[in-house]
Amino acid sequence: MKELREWCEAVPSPAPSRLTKAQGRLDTAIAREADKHRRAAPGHRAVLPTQRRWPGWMAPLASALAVIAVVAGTFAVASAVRGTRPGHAQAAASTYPGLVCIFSEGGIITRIRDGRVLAPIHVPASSNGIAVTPNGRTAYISMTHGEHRDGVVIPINLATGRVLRPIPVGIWPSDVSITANGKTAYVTNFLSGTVTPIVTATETALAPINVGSRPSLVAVAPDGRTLYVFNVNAGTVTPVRTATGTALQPIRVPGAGSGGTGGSIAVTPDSKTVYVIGSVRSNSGTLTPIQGDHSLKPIVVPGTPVGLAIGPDGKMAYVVSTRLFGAGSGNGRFTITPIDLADGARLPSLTVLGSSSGSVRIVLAPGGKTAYFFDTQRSAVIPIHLATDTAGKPIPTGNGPYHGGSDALVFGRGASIGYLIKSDRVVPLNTATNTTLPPIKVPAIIGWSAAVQR
Amino acid sequence: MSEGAHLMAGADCSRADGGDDAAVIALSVRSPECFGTIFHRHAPAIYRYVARRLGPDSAEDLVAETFLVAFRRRGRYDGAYSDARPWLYGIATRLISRHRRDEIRFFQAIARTGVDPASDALDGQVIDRVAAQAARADLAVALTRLSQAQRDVLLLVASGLSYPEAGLALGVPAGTVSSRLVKARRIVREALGGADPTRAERGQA
Repeated sequence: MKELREWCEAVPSPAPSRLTKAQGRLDTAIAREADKHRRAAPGHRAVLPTQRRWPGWMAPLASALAVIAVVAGTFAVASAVRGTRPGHAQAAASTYPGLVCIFSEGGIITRIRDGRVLAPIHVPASSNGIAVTPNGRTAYISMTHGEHRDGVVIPINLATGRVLRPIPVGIWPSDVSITANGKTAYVTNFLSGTVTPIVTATETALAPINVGSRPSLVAVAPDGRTLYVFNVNAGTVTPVRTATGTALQPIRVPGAGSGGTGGSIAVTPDSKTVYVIGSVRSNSGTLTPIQGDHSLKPIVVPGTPVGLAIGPDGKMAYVVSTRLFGAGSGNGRFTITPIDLADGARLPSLTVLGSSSGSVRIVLAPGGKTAYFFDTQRSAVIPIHLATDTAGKPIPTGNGPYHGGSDALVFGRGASIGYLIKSDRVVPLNTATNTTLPPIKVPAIIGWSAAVQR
Repeated sequence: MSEGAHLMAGADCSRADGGDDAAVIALSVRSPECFGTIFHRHAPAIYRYVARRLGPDSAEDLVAETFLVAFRRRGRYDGAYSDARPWLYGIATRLISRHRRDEIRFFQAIARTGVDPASDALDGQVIDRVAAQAARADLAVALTRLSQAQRDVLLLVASGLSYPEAGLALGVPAGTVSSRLVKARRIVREALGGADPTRAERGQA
């Protein structure tokens, strides 16, 4: 399989700095072992021990201490479990987002409402995408049926936990998006190059809409009139008029999709403009506005853009960039550039150190005063105070068994507590104090969706 | 590396440098310093393999873990195999399987955005070649559809291991390798356009 081999060969040899850590750890292990060998060698005379040894009588005491430590650990775990409810101290002034559904491995759906975990719902498959209606009544999960190519969307009644009849859709369905009025769910069929609308009142699919090669990301305009589909292979955005189910001509986005880098899409709150990031040349990016059926002149952004957020008033965009190419690439430096969308003017950038992978890098808190940058390597989020353009102290989110770090941050309107969704836990984050509450443990997360008042 | 280890390496491991991996590993049982040679020979390739599957950031840690595990197990290495690559790839693959969700997430992100952090860290002038690989979103999404065992086999072979070597790495017979490959390839081929009715872009509904 030539394509796959080329794909593997496209990974460059590591810069020496990338192997320094590994070499250092191996060298330490080797040195320790070599030392042991030297001591064991015949004729070796014991030198003065550099470390104090426990006297014999200390051993029982040490094990007693270990038992105490274990008991203390148990208490810690017990309080963490209790912590799945809102704590007393912060309950008064804090509000949680509404319902959040987490889809985990093994077909488990965990519902979290106001910081409390409801009984899990089991579904007989693993999912690709999940979405919840704004009223929190139904979840839609997309999946491929075993070895069959055709996909289905399965509606789940969230009140009763009942799994409803599967709705056939296209080949390899991925993302599911629901309009703000909750009337229609849209699922992208990755291999079919189509989007299937599902009428939620009747749980039936309408005829699929052709959009382009490999639809991967979807943004529904807040007014629900237009759906913007990003086609990753074509590097285009296809607007779909939801009233008639018609797709407009795909609009080319310079440097976006597999032909370049980019692919982050955001709609302004007034539903008038959709912005897409791209990168036509190495370390030089664009932010392309699309209005109606055409694109406007791209705004130039520094470096290679990898993340995008739009302020709640629609006046500012925040672009996360890094150096993906050439010297200085992969050095863990990300710049966050505020852009005045009225005239495309770039305000001074802020540099944050971290390591951010995946498709979510920055999220704005409601109110637009704080943005959160995901530092996946250190398992932390860094608050960015937008008024002063300064980075706050990183907030540790805990290290899950998976390396992927933080994946998402979800807020409700006016809610002071957000949910950080990562790996195998949901961490409530108090945005007033930028502190986290005890994490809610869930099985390994595949996807999430929230039914929140936005 | 500590001073002592450096000195020992100079004194003891010169014979190892010219020998095959089996000889170096055998020597390293009594002279642990010699194991550094195995790292220098194979760490870059293991890094590329892991970076392809988990991304460059996770690769640093996982390469470290791979060689630490290998170092601890060097006494049990079967000297009949002169090339240590299958052994090292096997250790790395087992460690990767503990990060299965990370791997899926990594591929999902590539599929959604077209951004491939593993191969994009290339020099600017190579961008055109990379850009020509419009299939990477397809490959990434196809890999998320495979079982762990299928993905292991496919990526070991794509990384340059022969069928018997891949079998050795995974501890399965070569026959199992090829039967897993057949299934895995079918799924990937399908993603690469075998069943795409909209290969040519269409804008009209």
